[in-house]
Amino acid sequence: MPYEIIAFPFHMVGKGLEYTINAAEDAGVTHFVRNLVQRRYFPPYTSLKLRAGGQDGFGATFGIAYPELPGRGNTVRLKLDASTRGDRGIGAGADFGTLRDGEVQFGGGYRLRPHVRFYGIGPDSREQDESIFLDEAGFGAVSYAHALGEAFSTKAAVHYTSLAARGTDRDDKPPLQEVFPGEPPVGFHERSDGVTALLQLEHDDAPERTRPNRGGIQRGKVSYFTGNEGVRFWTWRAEIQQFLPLWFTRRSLAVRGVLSKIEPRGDSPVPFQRLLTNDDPDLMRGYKDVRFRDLGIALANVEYRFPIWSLDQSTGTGVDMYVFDDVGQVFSDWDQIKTNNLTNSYGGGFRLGSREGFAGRLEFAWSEEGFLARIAADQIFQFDKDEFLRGRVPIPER
Amino acid sequence: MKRTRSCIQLVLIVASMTAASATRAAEKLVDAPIVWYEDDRKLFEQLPHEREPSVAKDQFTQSVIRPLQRNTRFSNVTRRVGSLFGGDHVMPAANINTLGEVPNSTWFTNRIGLFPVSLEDAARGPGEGDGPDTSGVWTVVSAKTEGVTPGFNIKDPKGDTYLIKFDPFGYPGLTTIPGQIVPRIFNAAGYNVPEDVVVSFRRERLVLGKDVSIRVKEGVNQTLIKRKMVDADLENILERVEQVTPGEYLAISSKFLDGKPIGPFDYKGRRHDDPNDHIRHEDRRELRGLRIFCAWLHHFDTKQHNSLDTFVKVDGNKGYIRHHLIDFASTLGAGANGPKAKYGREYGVDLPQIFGRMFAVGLKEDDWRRVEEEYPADNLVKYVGYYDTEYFHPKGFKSLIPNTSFASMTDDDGYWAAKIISAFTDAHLAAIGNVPHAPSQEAVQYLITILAKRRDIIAREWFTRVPPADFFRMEGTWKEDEVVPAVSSDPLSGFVTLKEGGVDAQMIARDLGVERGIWPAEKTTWQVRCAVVDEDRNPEVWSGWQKIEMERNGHMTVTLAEGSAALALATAPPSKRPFLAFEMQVDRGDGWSNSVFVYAARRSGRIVAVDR
Repeated sequence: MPYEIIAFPFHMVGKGLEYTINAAEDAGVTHFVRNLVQRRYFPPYTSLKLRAGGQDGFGATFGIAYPELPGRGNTVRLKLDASTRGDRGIGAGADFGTLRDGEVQFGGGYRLRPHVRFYGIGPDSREQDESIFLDEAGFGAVSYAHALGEAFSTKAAVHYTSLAARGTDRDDKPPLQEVFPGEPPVGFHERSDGVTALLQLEHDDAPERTRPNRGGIQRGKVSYFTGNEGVRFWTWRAEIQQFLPLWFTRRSLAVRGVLSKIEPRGDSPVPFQRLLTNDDPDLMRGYKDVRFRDLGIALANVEYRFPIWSLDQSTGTGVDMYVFDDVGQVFSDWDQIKTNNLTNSYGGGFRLGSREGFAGRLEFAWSEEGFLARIAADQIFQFDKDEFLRGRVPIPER
Repeated sequence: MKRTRSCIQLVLIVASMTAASATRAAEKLVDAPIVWYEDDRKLFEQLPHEREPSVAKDQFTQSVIRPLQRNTRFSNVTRRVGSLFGGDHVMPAANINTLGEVPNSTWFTNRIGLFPVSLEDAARGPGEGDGPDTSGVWTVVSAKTEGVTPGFNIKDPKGDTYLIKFDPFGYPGLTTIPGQIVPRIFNAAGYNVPEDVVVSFRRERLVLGKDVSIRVKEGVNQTLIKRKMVDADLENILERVEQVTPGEYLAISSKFLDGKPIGPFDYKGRRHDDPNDHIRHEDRRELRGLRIFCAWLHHFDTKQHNSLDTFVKVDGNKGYIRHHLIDFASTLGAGANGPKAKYGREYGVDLPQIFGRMFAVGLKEDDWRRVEEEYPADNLVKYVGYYDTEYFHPKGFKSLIPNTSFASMTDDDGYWAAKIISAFTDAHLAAIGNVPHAPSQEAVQYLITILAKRRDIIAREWFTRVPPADFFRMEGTWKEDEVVPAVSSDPLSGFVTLKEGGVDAQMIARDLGVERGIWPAEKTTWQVRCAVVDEDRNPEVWSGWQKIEMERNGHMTVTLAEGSAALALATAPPSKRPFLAFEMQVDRGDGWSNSVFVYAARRSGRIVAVDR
């Protein structure tokens, strides 16, 4: 019977699952997994974040925090990072509350990425010029954040950063020095050290991080970098995010716009690894991470979100689906912002929320350069801006 | 192409044959007493093993494996196709008598569905209805700190053991009030349930027993360990419980069942170490129809762990297994960890719903989200959770995890449950809802009101699907001999009557839809036609349709000595066609319904079968 031929594999899957679950039960595996899920074997204050897509390979970040040293609420953090592509990173940070709604943060870290992509500089860099280089970064930072009422806050910070870009040939993709033999970008095979001072003013009236449907974030930031080889530049950045409720419960439209520009001072050009690029959270999701680099970036992201599963109530643990469209480009001067240079990517994905907040996303995106799937534990909206003091390298400044 | 068409034709033929066989009962008609007792109390000595199925495994099995198996089995798919032709998607229930009723067994005892139940009996519930003895202290013999709500077991001065469970913090009475009402309803309906009573007590009533152990999470890693329980543990439990007045605690006390607990029963298959368990559980009408009770009572947590089998010893070590429903904290809109609007309206992981939402891209709103949005404005949510009629769809009820027995429910199973549910009068519900310790009597009144409204919604739904003519009986004298009686016909009206013979009987029936106030008698018309049939239900010839006289209380009478019955009786002698069949239909303003077939034996005058 044709039906039986079609149904047979489904039936066998059912039988196989039944036998597997029975065997797992008898062997104590389900008991172990349940305990694992209930975090009985995990120490408290630990986290494990997985990622895939964007960069090649799979990555994981293990974090540990201790929130009661030396006083309640003061937190010390350690982060370890690794990927199947050889990325290694370590970072540590500490938050200390001060009187009058202020918070001081210290942090530092080191990161080695042996296979970072480079396609050239500018909006017209070509996909076929994909090359790789070794990226090494170390940093130390201190910041002071101060709340100015319920929604407004300001922050001042000073970073010391040291970046190096070197050639590498440990990959199936061609190294940068082979693809760009006569004209390697400024900063390649060199170390760029320097200090950045920044000031930020922020308005955030969207406290919910999992499924916001009201409020938004407006942020303005300006920083000044001075480094070796006489490199000096200003960076300014304006970002606006808004969450709009739609027709039914938890249906929302999230819109985001970013405009950022580096203004060089003096005669020394800006090293290429300090240029603005499409990296978290400024993603063009249908394109690979760091696909474009230049002095400026303009970007708009739109997401329509709706719930598809909830554990037991609209808030809390559940899965939302979303469809999105990202439009943006890099540029070196304002004249380059034109429709011919704009990239467009679109797609959809799933957002996992837990009682503790946003837990991760699985995303599928398309662009003229193909398809990209991505797993990430963070989001481009309401990106965790304190992440750099927990080990995230603050270059470029966002 | 031709081959494909042949295959489709074959499936349709098999399906329609399946539908036909499922619609009509296959058993021959027999002039014999109706079976009212299932012989499942045969004593046996071998103590059954204690089942301890894992909750995680059960959830996965019920949510993934069994639906996959149900929907890929050839016979099931054929039946589903057959249901398009009027059949059922599964075989009829296997434990019913020829009237479609469930005989008394270790699973179910007919009560309010068939017999009058006094208000006192309904309110009393399965036991004495008093709860633990309050003449002395209660000795704590074990405790539970895991799970959503804490609790402990106590022994009262009489030596009876009770489980004491509390409401979730911030929701006084949310689970305890349904915890008393619902088992009383289930008991009056006929299910086996424990004696659950709301109790109010103070800390002084509790003393800690000797060598009581407790499992607690301790240390930085919150490791679960077992150790001796101390007074501080008791204080710790009570600290997590709301006090109705300072120092006074409200709880539900659940008396331990008679017999040795041997774990829950599965809603699928049989218990192989029970020699009395001959019928697959998914084929038991009381378990299929339980779905309708659960819809009425919003009892969404029907995983097998909320059932319990006990081995009841009767003669030395010999005994039998009795089957119970337990734990009614998640009913009437309540939830063990607070009210949740989603529960009862969607499975925990409901793949068709999830895929439906994906394709609808958020353009359709879920009922439960509307409930969640609209109801918090109502202060009663704190006391009763989400228990409503506005978004109540009797067929749309879903338990937290899929249930094989519920998935096997047919319209006849649903009708059986609706008939019992509609037998609860407003007075019964008021008596059952008399909970003296309730923190909010307004909340209790609300629950009773919604129970009554949902009862009527359920009755309307199932009495529309299955015509609710029931409680058939014969009255009068019915003695036929082998000579076919002659009939005389009124030349004006054509109405016929038996000229002679010993037939002076009536078939009496009740329209439950009218009797129970679902529809008015004035807008209801019943018609009947008759035929004499053999044991295989083959008719000699059907008479024409005839209207049935009905009283305002829904009682109907069909006189055998005249009209269509007389015509039918005149067509063949009892030796050739030993049964008289009545086919009945109802019209309540929207056309004639499906038929109900009633069969009476011409020799004994006994109602021998009802087909719906």
